[in-house]
Amino acid sequence: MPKTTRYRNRIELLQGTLDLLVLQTLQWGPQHGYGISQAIRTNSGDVLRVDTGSLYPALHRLERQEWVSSDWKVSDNNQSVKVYRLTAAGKKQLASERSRWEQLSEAIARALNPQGEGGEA
Amino acid sequence: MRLLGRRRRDEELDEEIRAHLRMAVRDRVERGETPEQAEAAARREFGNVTLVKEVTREMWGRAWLRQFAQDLRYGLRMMRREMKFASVAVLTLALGIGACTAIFSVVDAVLLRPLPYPEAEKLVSLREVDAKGRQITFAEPNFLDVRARSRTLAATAEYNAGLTTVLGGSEPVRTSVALISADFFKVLGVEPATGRSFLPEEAKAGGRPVAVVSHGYWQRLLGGRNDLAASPLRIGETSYTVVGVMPRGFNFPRDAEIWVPVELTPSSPSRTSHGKRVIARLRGEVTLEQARADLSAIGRQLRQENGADVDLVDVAALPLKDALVGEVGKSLLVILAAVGFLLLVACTNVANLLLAQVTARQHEFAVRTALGATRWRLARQFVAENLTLSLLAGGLGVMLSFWGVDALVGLNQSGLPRSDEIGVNARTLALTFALSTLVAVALGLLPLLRLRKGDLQEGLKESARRQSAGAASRRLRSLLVMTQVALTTVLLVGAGLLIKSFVKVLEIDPGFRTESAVAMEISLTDEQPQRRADFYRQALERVASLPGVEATGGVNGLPMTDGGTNGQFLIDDNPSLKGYGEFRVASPGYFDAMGMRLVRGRLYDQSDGPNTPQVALISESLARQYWPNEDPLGKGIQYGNMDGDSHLLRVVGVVGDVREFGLEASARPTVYVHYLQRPGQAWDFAIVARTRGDTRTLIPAMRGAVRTLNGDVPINFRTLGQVFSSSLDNRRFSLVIFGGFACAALLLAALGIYGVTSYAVTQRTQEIGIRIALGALARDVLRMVIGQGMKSVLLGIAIGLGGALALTRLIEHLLFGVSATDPWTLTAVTVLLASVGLLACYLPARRATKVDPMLALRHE
Repeated sequence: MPKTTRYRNRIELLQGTLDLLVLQTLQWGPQHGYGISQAIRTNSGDVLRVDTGSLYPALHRLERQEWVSSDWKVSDNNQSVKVYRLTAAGKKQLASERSRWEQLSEAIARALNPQGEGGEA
Repeated sequence: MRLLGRRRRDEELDEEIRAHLRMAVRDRVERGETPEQAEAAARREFGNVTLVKEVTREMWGRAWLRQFAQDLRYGLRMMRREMKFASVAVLTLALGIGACTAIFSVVDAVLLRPLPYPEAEKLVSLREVDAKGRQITFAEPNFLDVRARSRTLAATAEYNAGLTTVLGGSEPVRTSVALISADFFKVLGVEPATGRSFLPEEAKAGGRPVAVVSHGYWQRLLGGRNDLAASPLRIGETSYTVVGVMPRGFNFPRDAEIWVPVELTPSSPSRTSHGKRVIARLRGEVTLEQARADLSAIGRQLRQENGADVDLVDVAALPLKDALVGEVGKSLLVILAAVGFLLLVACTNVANLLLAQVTARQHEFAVRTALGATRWRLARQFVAENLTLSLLAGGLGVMLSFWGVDALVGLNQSGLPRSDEIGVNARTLALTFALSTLVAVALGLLPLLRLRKGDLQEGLKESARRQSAGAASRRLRSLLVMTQVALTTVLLVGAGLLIKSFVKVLEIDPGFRTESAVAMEISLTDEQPQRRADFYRQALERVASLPGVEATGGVNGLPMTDGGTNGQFLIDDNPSLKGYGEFRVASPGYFDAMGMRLVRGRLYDQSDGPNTPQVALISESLARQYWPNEDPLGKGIQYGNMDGDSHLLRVVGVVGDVREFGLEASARPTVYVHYLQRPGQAWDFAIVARTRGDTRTLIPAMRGAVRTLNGDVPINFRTLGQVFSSSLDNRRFSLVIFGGFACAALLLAALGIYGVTSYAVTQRTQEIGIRIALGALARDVLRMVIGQGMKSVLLGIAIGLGGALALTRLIEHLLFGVSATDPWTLTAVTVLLASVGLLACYLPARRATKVDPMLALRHE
């Protein structure tokens, strides 16, 4: 019996955060476009569904900025797939994006729970 | 970054997305969906593949350029499909752009470009100003004083040029030889390219005669040899050693080929013997105002020191470029404005054509908008399409302009200053390109102005294919027609005024009869005046004996040429009774040959000769000016100023005035002396022969007659008719051009009116069919169509007349004998345009009356 996937709200991701997620995914090894989108979905517990309309432009843009590089490989079923890989510059970029994201989320958390307000955190 | 070709990248992207979909389908199938379900679901989840591809491609950068190239290609395809529209549009635009480029080439070379000398803005031309405020050429002693005393001029030089026979090259030629003072080349800032200019010991009285030649002369007549000293030149009795060659293209004074020091030729010490042109270079940071003040002070000094011995009261300085360009500048600017009008008319025609195209393509635009194109994107596409059109038109226009520039220069060779510098070059090509682009953008945006969202949605409906999309489009079309007609009206009024001026000028009596006479201009270099006079006497006798010759005579300067001199004379040898007039040396038969009137007294006859008392004939205006209430016969004139002979001339006759300087200038007071009595000033001599027969057969006969006397002397033939006609060259030039533009604009406007009315008829075919079916007669249909068409035409004429009344003031300086608001011209233009408009409306209206109601009702 086919599992019906329920329609979930697609959370719109800012361009910057999409880049971050893609770079992060690639840190665990080279991957093709479909694989990246599946990985993000899985790792976020099925919450974040990446719109392919955003993913592919993002991948090509990242490649142009030389944070990732790509190659054509032959997959197990003898088909060609384009596989993306993080570059050294990409690794640096990932680190800086992560720290920026962490700073941002910390700031937002603080803003939502100002000092002196008791109650649940 | 992989640098692959575009196509490879597109293919790879396709492959990448296919792979994605493949894997997505495989996963779904693994999860239990059927292949078909999986396929559909995967595609749905992916989204719009085309859109994704499009957006991804934009990440590659340079998308803007790629789209533009795509639009250009599309534009070319469109043009191939709509050949008729495209060719009409391209030709119309090419006409406008070509005319603009040609005129701008001329204006650029003559008015805008600085003279081709270093720091040319520092160059000035100096003139003496007499008591009447007229600017005249310098007398040498005055020039020398100005040179010595000025504090604001770095270098000053005088020059004078004339056609002379030059021997010593590979053959004798008659060419322009310039006598220049020592600093001439220093003023201009140009030095000989080969050899040198004059040394100080050469540029003085008694110095060794040397000459500098032009590049052209050096090539043509000296064989381009490096050993310049080996071929001395002979001018007159003197042998000049060539010491230098000017750079190629150096052309000052105009057409001069040989430059010799003026100091070698003794000049009159009189401060009233004019004829020297003076140029100077301002010193350092001196402004023109400072120089003018300085020069005026010197002028006043000279006046004080010399009193009545000098004509000048002031010295004027004007920028050399202005002095060279003269009056022509103003007419050129007017012509530039006129061609701008023509271009606008051409553009409005094309705009109308494009508007029709846009309406036909409404459906296409609606679909593109639905697919996500913004108005901005559509505008870019339009501009690209029109760019192909205008670039083609621009290219064709450039070709037209080459031909046009040649035609323009040919039309007025002598009248256009700096004509050797005129040509289509990089600047004008850049202008053409800019014009084309501007036209493309303007025409591209125009239809877009009226493309609103509502229209686009309407466009999606099938029926919209044939509709004219409403009143907005119709209004725009009428507006365009009105503009065209208004612009054409202004051009036609201008042309009409110029035509009328030309006619008025032709009505002026030149003072001599221009038909059936030939003028033969001879130039002798014999230093001895008596020998020259003798030669001319023999030549006159021979010509007189030719068959068919009714009368023959000679003069040293024909009217309407630049010959002859002028200067001051004394009445009855009284130093306090001064006069100023033109001085001519003439032979007895001259006045009959020219067909001039004798007013009083007698002409020269056989009794006058070298040994009889000197006699003079004066012109009517001179008699009126100096002896208004007495009989001038018997009075004396002392004209020693001109040739050193201070014998008193007795006035024996008064002849009719002749327009020495063209029809439009008033006649100057003239004194004619007998060529055998006072041959001093007769270097060049023009023998005029009036014939009963054909002037063409006379010319070889005259040439033969002179050749038997002297085989080498250069002679130049013109009919009196040609002399007369060439004095009108400037005016004819403006008229032909303006008239040409006006006619072109009229044609374009007529085509425009026809096109719009024809289109309107097509759009309203259904309506017309219904009206006819309901009983409308032919004349009702005619009235309807013509009425609608003529509305814009008449409004356009009205606006145009208003514009003409305002603008024709600007061409007043070109008019003669006619006011800028001449009512006859305005009426004539109105009638002409209205009739042309009526005809242009009538033809489609006639077609409308033939509409078959049954066909029309089925017509969609």
